[in-house]
Amino acid sequence: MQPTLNPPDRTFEDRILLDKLSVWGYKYRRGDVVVLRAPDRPNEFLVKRLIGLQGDWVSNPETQDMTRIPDGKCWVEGDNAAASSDSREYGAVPLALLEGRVSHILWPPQRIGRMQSRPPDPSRVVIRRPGM
Amino acid sequence: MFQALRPLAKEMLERAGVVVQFGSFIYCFGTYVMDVTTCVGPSMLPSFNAEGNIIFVEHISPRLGRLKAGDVVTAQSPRNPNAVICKRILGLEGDRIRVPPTMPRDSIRLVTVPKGHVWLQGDNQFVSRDSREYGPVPAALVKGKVVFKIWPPSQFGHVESRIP
Repeated sequence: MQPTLNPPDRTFEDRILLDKLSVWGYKYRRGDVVVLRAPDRPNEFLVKRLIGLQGDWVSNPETQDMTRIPDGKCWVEGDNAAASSDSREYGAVPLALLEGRVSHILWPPQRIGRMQSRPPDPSRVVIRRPGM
Repeated sequence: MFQALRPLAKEMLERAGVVVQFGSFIYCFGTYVMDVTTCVGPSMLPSFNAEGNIIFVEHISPRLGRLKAGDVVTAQSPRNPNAVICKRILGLEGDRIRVPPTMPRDSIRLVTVPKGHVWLQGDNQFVSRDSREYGPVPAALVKGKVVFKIWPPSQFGHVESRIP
């Protein structure tokens, strides 16, 4: 997730505050940073950005293929595309794996602040319109 | 006036504290230790009836990774984060399993379960919608192991682990 979290010149690892209520209430928003359980390693957690939700179409930047995200799944990607192992590798993941939304950075002190949501690149994601 | 209310307010705060502590204890116990839920639907016939069984679920084995093929488990549905499914584990990661067909005329498939996933399937193979439809399920979604059926009383008993 560099440079959003743990920027390269860091002295401390970032500590983050999780908002679990939005996941319990099934309020997912594209562009939020989320914590999820790794789909292939049950005891590990990942921090990724939520790119697409069920029904959206996402293109893979390498192959240019468009994939439709199945019901109950989502598309997650790291901000550091070159170093991230994410949905571009293992495909859409179940929404049930999401544990919480990253709402703030708590530590180190100079980085305290709200986590910015960043809408996905419209040239890569076709968002499902309600009623379609 | 406010002087007179002070002991009352203190007492109310203390009681509220007890209620909150009790609620937290119940929540943690139900999430991490054991729980009683219902299992409704025809997909697990004949092990569970379609009208619904009340089942006793323990959450310790999934957390410690002590599940084995043949166990009946509850999991969050990969199709809908809001739903809980109750299925039997047919294979754990790395297992090579024979998957029976969904339709009576289809043939048996051979599947290798990928890393960190489990293959979930209902006992009633022609009705159940399971891993044959949505593929292997991340093991992180498995939340509990079904140990006992406690209702209806005629079916009370231990839930056997078996490989179909």
